[in-house]
Amino acid sequence: MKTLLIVDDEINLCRLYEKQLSKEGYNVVLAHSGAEAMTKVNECSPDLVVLDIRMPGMDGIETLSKILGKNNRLPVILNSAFSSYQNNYMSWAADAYVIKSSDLTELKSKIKEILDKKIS
Amino acid sequence: MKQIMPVDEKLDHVRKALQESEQRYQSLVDSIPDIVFTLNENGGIISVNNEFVYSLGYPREEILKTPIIDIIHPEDRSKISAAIKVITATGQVIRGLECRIMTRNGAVTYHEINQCGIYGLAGELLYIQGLAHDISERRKAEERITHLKEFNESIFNSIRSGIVVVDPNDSKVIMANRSYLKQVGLAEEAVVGHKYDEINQALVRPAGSPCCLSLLKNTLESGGIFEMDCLRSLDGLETRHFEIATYPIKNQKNEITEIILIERDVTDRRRIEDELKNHVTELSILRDVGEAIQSTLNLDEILHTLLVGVTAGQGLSFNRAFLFLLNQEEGVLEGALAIGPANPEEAGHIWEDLDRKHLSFTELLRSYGDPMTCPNTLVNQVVHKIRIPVTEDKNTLITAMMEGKSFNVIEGLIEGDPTRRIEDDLATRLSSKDFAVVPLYSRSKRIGVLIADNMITRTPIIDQAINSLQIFANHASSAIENSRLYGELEKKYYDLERANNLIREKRAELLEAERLSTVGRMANILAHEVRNPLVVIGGFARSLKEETPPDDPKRDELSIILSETMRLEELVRNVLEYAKFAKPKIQPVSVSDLVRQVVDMVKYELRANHIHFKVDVDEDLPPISADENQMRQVFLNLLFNAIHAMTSGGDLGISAARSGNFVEIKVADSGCGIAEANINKIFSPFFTTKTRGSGLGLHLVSQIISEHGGRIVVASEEDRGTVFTIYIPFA
Repeated sequence: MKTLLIVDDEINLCRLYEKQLSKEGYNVVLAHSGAEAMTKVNECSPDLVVLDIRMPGMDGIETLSKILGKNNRLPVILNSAFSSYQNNYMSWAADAYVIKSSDLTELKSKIKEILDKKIS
Repeated sequence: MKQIMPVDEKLDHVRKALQESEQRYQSLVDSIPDIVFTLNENGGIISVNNEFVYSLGYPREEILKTPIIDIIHPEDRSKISAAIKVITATGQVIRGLECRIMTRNGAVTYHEINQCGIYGLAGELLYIQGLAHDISERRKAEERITHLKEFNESIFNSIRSGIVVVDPNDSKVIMANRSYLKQVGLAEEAVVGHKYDEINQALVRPAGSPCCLSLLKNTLESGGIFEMDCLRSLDGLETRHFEIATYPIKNQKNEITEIILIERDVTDRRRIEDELKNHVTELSILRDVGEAIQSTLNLDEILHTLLVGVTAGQGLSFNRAFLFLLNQEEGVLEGALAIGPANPEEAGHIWEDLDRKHLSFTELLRSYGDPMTCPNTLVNQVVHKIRIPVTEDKNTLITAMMEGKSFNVIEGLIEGDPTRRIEDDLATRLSSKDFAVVPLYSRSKRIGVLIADNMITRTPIIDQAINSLQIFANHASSAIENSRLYGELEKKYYDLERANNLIREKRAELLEAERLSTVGRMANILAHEVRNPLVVIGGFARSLKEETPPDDPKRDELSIILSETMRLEELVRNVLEYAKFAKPKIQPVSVSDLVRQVVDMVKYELRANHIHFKVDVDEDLPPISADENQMRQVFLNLLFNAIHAMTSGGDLGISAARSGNFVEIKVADSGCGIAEANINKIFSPFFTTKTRGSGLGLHLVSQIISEHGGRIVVASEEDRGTVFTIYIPFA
């Protein structure tokens, strides 16, 4: 079973992701800040990270660079309410950029796609 | 018996008788009103009568024995001496000897003296008897008459008019004054004694002018005064104009004794009158043309007016006029416009028509209609074909234009310079070898040339006409120049207007940017504060729907929640797409400029709300590095906030000063203030105590300021006012 780390300061959003992605057959681990995400990356060795960008304290871009600094093979999907970060060169380092939507179809297919690629 | 007297008694008697006779003689002599004197043979005075003593003033005892010549005027003494000699030698009687006698007080008296010798029985000379008659009065009268005669003669001769006196009986000239002789160029002998009419007839006149033979006849027949004009051309070249008048002189019987003819040379006067008349005409035409030209700044209309003025009967009356203008860019003098009939038939029609109508210049101008509607007349076609490069400096038209000279071309030759011919090509095109060329120039600027001719009437072009043409051209030139200047001005004006439009556009862009910047901010808020909850709501609705069996009525309601959520998400997406355009542009920004701009933008609101404002910005502040639009948004929001807090007027102060590495900007109002409970919430999104506004204004302000590395502080007291203080780092 693949482990996904969901990083978002919005607790309700995390609960939605947890529910939906568990249904898809993933082991879902939650983190509510960049710092917590770093701990969870160490503790749970997730197969993929879904990372929010706009967070208090350490934001998603900074967290991304830290994660990659630690393990540059860990796939990361940036998941943001803002489309503007799509042009930030740091976000190019992520494997995908998905804009938040109540319809999680896009996010789910990106996760599957990336994990399938990783296996093969 | 005869009584015999003694001899002595007899002698006594004789002596007595003699004595009585002598006394009688003396008293007789004394009673004569003329001077009587006797002289001895040497001229010594023996006796004088009372008149002598009385009129000459010499006492008798003093004058006796004095030589007569002593009292004679020195110049006349020889005459008297000679007379005395003649009398003593020949016994001749001297009569009518005129000589001057000096009175005792030195006055000169004129006398006519008669002298004769008185002889004794033996024929011996006893004495010389003299009688002097005083002719002083007569002499004075004579002198007066002589003087008068000379005076009259000098007047007669010095009068500038020719005066001829004619004998009415034979019509011969009795006398003629010097001016007359000079005027007709004849010697006195050729005039005096000759018949006036014959003299007059012999004088050279211009062909066809009368010689005034009726004048004398009329005067003789009617006895009245007659006047007549006559032209004479004495040297066969210059025609001079005379006014001749006859004045009959009559005696008491009303018979004509003389006829006086006065001939006045009025050539100069007439010329001046004519010139004056011409000037008046010229001025009135110029006024008309001037008015017509001034009524427009349209170049075509000016040119048209000029040509109508040159060709109109009320104007300079040329048959045709051609206008050439200098095309500066191409360096070519090119035909621009022409007016005139194509041939004599057409001319006849046009001129007859105009004669009938008696139009004023302005009416005439109007009757031509729009100058551009008839460009296809023959003359216009002709003129449009003429193009002469400025480089052809020998060309007549180019020379006229470049040197500002006017030419009178006669038979293809330039008057005053017979070596120069006009170009055959020009003569052929104009079908004319006689025309005037005048330059058009204003100040030192060359405009073109004007050609005018009398191709139809063949009237020679005189210098006067060329002068008028030049005056005309000068006025037209300045009008053309004015028109050009106006054109340039107009162009400048358009440039200015374009610049203004550009500014307006830029301003609109600026406002759009402003709006976008607000939208951008809004979008951020939407993204963060709205999208996240929407995702959660929609996500769980979807999740719930999936878990609900298809026949459960809750499923429909969940679908409604889901679709409404998706509609909102779609809206947010659209807004975010729109907001992408607003990218921040960081550059050095002058705080003082910015404050000034912003205050300008809200001036109206400040006035409308009776708010006094005070700006105190340190002009020497270094620039901050910022997105100008966003910073403007900050100030606008703060100012509007302040204005909305002072609905019933107040004071607004804006200050900017250096504070370490920051600029410290204060916006202080005397408005309602912020309640203490709310002061921590004012920068939160959607917080507002106002009935209007989004509640985003101050949130945006704080967001922008923090993005610029600054901070904002608020201090407020209810009902006293609020002060926002912003710190932004210098660039």
